[in-house]
Amino acid sequence: MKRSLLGLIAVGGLLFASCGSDDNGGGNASTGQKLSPDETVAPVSGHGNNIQKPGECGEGTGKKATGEPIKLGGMATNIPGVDFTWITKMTGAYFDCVNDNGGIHGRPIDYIAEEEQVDPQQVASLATKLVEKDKVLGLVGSTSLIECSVNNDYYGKQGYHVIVAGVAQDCFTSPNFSAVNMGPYYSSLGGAQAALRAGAKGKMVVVSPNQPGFDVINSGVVEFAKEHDMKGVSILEDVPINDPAGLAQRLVAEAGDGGGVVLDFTGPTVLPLLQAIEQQGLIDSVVWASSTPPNDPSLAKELSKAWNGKFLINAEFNVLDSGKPDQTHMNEVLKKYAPKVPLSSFAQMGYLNGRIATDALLSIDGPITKESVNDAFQKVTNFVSDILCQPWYYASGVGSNVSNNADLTVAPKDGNMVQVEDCFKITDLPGNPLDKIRAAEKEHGLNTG
Amino acid sequence: MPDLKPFLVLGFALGGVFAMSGVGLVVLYRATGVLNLAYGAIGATGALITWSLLDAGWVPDWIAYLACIVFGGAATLVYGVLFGPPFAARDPLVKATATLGLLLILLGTMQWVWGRDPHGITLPTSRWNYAVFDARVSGTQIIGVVFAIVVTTGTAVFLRVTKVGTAMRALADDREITATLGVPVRRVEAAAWLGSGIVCGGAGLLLSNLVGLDIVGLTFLVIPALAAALIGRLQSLWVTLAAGFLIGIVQSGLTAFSEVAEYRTLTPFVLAILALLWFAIRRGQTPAGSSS
Repeated sequence: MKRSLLGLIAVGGLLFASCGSDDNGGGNASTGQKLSPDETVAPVSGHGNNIQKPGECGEGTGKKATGEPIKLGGMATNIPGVDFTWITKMTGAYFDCVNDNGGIHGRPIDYIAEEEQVDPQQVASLATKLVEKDKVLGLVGSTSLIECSVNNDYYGKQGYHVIVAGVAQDCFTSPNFSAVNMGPYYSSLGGAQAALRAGAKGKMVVVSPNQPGFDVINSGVVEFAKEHDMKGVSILEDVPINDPAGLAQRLVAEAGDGGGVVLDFTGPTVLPLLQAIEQQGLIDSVVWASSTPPNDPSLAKELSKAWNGKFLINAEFNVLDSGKPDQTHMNEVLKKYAPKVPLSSFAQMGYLNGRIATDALLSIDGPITKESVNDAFQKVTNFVSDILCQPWYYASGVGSNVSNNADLTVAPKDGNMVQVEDCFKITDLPGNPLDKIRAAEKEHGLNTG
Repeated sequence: MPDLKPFLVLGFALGGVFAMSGVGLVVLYRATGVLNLAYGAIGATGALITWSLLDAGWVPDWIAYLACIVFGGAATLVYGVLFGPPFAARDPLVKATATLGLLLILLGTMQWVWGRDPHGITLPTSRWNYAVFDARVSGTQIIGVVFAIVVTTGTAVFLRVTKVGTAMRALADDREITATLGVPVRRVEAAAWLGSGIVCGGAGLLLSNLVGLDIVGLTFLVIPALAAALIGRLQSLWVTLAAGFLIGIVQSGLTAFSEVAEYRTLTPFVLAILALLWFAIRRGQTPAGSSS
């Protein structure tokens, strides 16, 4: 049994037969039919001023930056079953590339990345350390289960506008944060939309780690189910899962025959569950969907062909082997500066954090201070990258920041992750602010590219 | 009332590996006084070595599987030979805490070497599936149950019939007196470490199939095994075996009840606490002088 050493994927088209385009079961992934989102958006084409040239980062001078360092900081959760440090590591890798290419007008970026263990006191003290001891000028790349909730007031008082990969809902509802991703609430919702289009009926189950804030994250799918005359069921599960076969049976029992199940776990946590689902012969019992994290080629490599096209993963970013300029550039940076970071959606989040912060820093005229850095962060609009479905901006002006609110669906096929749906809009619900945000985007031209 | 049958079937299979791991812990404790908290980490490391060998395709699959068992035996033996004698006279708590050091070293090494990607092993026996009620039981799950019973029976016979087994039982009673009787204490202890490690490697290989090759998950799967061993009072192999099955069945059975399913991972702790309370009450009721 020979398997390849590296999990780099090749583009593969998952050719499904065409079908209807309504939002109520127009297609069925289990039977190999093509899924058609109800409201698509045109994906970014791969052109524009922001698109990074191969081999270059930032100013792209090829000369090492030697001036006074510009301190930036961030923090990421690292606990059993949840490791977000890959994101800060990738942000740091991009800054290393910037520092090898002239830095910010000759000054290198000194990026201080902390790890936290979901302890509010620790998270608060790390913020104090970064701001008051290290005196970082800006915060970027942070990805934490609780940081947005714990440090929101503190950052607001200190005048920081933080660029993050968001997890907790506060990352998307506070003007002090703006996330490059849409987070598990919206991503799970996107998974539920795909499951519904694939024919899920009756019940929609969503299962997340039993961690603070995940009941709120699950609430979006439950509300979505009700909006579509289905019963929504929220489950919180201790991770790592130590009886995956039992959980697989429970999920199918909860969803009922032909229902939908949205999984919200990281790749290493979800793999044993998917293998147990297959072993129990439950793949075709329900429609299986997921939030973004399992969009990882190494996960696809470990799954058997029985899962081909039957695990609908909401991808907040383009496929990792799109071949488009920014994605190719990200893959180069990862290979050179962070070879131990997996090629995954987490790497994309870290890369985008670094890119956006660097572009903002380069846009500053005059002294680089805490005030000018955070002002530049907040003024980012129409940041174009082919990794995203739509251009990104920092602030919508309506108090809620969900600038990444359109994405696509991927599924495993023959050891790769392949795109099965084009970019589509995450649905607005009474319980989320997407309708107001989209109105503001239209009014202020925030993501027109 | 939900249909419990599939959950009980799966719980029985899950309990088999808890029981097997618990028996391995008890054998080592009885012979050396060491509660090996690194049991899960050793099994997980062995399973990851197997995964790497399979992934690279350097050796036939059966050698890769064997590597997990060999690593379990070798790693445990090396630890026992190096650290067993210096800790021999120390309190059991100190000995157990020392194995935590080994756990942390192995956990860090696994995260460093294999931490970035999801991994999975599928034994050929995992493809043999049999329908039992509404659940599907794989060949690996059946092996897990049989292996637990065989290990327990074999160990019980070994301890009672063989010279080394008798020496191990003597060591459990009093190490110093056993040494003065001319028993090669270190050699007998080394045999206990090796035997426990081989069981640990086998359990790691099976568990990587049954619950997944998750570094943290496998490392801390020592907890239900420890609970089974505690219910067996770290002495009785048969009670440990039964407790392992009970923990698996109760935990899996609770999965069917959505009201309490969220708390089912507390099962090992709850059952262990109830058992310890029961032992304490029984001891309190025993008339003075009627029991040693």
